[in-house]
Amino acid sequence: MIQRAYIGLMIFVLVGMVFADPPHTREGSFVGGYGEIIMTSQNGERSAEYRRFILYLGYAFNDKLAFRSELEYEHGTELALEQAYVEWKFSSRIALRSGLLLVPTSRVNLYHEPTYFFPNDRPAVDTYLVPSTWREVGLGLSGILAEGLQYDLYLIAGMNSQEFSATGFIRNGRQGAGKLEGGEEGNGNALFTSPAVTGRLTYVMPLRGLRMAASAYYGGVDNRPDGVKTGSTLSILSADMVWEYNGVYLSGTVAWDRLSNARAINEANGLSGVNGVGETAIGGNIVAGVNILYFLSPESEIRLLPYYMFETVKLHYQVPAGSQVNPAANRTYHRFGVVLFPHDQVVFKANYTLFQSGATNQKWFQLGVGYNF
Amino acid sequence: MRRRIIPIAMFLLLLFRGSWAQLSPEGIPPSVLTQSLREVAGKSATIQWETLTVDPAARNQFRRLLPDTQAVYLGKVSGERQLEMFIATAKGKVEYFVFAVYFRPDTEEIWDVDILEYREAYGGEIDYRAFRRQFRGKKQPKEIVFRRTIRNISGATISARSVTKRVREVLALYRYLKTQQKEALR
Repeated sequence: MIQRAYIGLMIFVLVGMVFADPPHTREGSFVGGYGEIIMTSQNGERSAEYRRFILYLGYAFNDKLAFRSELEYEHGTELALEQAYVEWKFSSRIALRSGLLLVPTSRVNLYHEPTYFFPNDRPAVDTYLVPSTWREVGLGLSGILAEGLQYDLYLIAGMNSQEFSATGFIRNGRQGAGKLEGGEEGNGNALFTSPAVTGRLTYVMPLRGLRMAASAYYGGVDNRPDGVKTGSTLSILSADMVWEYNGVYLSGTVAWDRLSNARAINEANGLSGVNGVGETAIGGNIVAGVNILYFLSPESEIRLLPYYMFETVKLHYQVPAGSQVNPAANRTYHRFGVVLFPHDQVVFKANYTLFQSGATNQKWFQLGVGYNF
Repeated sequence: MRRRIIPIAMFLLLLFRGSWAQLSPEGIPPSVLTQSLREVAGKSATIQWETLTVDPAARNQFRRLLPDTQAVYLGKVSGERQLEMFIATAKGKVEYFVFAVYFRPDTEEIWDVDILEYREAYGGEIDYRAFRRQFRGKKQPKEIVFRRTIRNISGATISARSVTKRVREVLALYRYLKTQQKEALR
């Protein structure tokens, strides 16, 4: 089934490309995409996968109205819509978006192409505390308030707490609307019984190479197929920044998640002891790198950055009554790596990761290539 | 195996698609053009279009900018400042945007770069005045180097790089036209 759907999709896109409007018209279809292929070596075992093959398809009806979509094929088993929405742009200050939207709660969730983060794996903060790629059905506004200051404000479907867990936290609570087959999220149909509001404020200093943002999310988590009402809510506060200046690269993310009445979720899910979902989770990371070709070869557009990334997530930072801290839920990652950008939209990655939790210590080596067009 | 061949073939096909070109004056709504003229050349600014023709060899040199024509549309702007302008499209992450390059005809240097239309959800920061002003005073294409003389915008790299490269090529075409005009006057 998935193979036929996939091949059908490819043919559809190829036909679309042939008939796509030439670039000097401002209306018509557009095609893009990204992908990443990763090889991992751990404990003497080597594996490789075409982790993501994603296509963007869109159509501009005129200079203000456009449809955009992102169709993903992941891990060789999952086929899903990552986003699909209609945007009505009234001006640069205000645009209305409606459909399946990316939740604007972290930089990596919005910019999740492999050229935007250095390790082969997405950061743990953006996997567990802000479970990228996180998208939900809803509507919202987006625009530029003043030069340098941008906003996003959405009303979207909340999460499904039936899938929350101790070591995955809220990750599997994404409802997965638009999912066609496979994957961790739900069954492709989202409930909207518990809505959520989320917003993001971004400040950009173009000539200083700085972009920083703060995000907030608040919403119910009772979009449960079993119909149980826990009365719980999820709050997320996060902040992120990236600074690129004269060959130096620095980025960081912090996030704080809180589940109110987490005890009720554990009771509804039949979880107890170390298996209960945490009440408060925190995490953060920092990446520091230097483009050595900036100094060695000033004319080169190629970038070569050795980097170090430190990251920690504590999914059981606080646990509700009736639960105990699970050592496996609190994790630290040290990543040493190098990224080579022969072009801003193509990256070759190599990284060595030291992983520590209260339950285990692991290490692995990864090679990968990613692109974005 | 079939699963892998199709994406690789598609990726290669997409890589070699054309990505930008000159835009004729009819291709831009008058209201958008008027707003840009007012912002760059003053409230009373008006424009008259001149159609120039390049020879086949030059058209080949600028074939990405002039993929299907030898005609070059150069706007003569009259207002608080006398300027000349050229409109083209460039590609952001996925979608195309429209930009104008304004030149000072007396010094043949770039006066401003204005983003006339930008639809894509991300990358619109290239229209920030601070970014655009980096192009002011550039006279030679080699003076325009992304990440050196033109600073990047974090989170808008693809669009910033794209418009930088295109402005560089537009400047090369402008200088060619000016040289051609001077030779014709001799």
